[in-house]
Amino acid sequence: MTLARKCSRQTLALLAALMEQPRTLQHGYELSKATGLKSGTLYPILIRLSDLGFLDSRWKDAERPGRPPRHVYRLTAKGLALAREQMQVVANSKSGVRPIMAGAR
Amino acid sequence: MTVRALSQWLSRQLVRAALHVSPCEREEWAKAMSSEVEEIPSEREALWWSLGCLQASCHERLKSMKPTNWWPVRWAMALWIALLAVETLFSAGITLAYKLGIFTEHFPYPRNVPLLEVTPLWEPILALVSGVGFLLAIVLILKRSRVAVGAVVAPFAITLLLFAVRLSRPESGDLQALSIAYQKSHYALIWPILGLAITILICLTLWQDRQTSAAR
Repeated sequence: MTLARKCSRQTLALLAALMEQPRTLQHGYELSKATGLKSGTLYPILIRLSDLGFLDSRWKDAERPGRPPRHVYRLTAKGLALAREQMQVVANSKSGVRPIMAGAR
Repeated sequence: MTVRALSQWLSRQLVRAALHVSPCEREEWAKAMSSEVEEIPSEREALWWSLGCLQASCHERLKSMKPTNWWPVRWAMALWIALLAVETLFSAGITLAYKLGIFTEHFPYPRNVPLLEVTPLWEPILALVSGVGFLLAIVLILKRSRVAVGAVVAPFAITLLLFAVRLSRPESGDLQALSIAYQKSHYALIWPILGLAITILICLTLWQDRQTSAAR
């Protein structure tokens, strides 16, 4: 299983959002807000990126007591390289990262 | 029941359904999606999020489903490969028997003797290997082995190669047989094409089966 040479607009939007804060662990809801992707679109992409080793996912205790732990994500080194490569592809084409993120909304 | 309470109840039900639908190997992801619902401030948004969870779970469930998980599909594939094995082994057996002189007096297919005479010995030997490969493939398909695709593709490739070689040799009679069948009915060629398509479909199904790593 490999990722297509050029990712979908939704995947690009997600990669862009994750690349903005590469060291920060981000929640699914946070990523949904940043990309405008609905959970039904966001999670299959997260799953695929994780399966391919582009995404580091782990459980983090909830900040407020009584809440369940949350799944958090950040790009792996391989994922960061992919994100950079994909952003370069986008930059070389006419559209930019911002239009991608707007298009995903 | 207020609209807010109804919305919360619906969200919970959708999340529960998402957890139920999600395949075993994606359970962690289903939990990840559902735990986010607690953090969403707006009920309306939480409801849409839960609906998305169900959609994602259904997506993962469909992705994890494999045609070979159903025994009728496996048996149908095995049956088709068995037909190919019988056909290949029968023609290879007859040709080899003639070539090795087993039928010294009463050869059951006298009309085929001129064709068998011009057939080189390596052809039935290769066909025999192909037939044995098909037999092995039957076992591997029924056992749901990951190498089943190779066991089908290899003898199938040999069969196609032999067919191509026979077509290139006019004395083999294959080209004439196809031509006569086509002259009798333009639709006659549908059957070999259909057979070819079924075998390719089986190869693709087994290949996809090998690629996906769903829980059994």
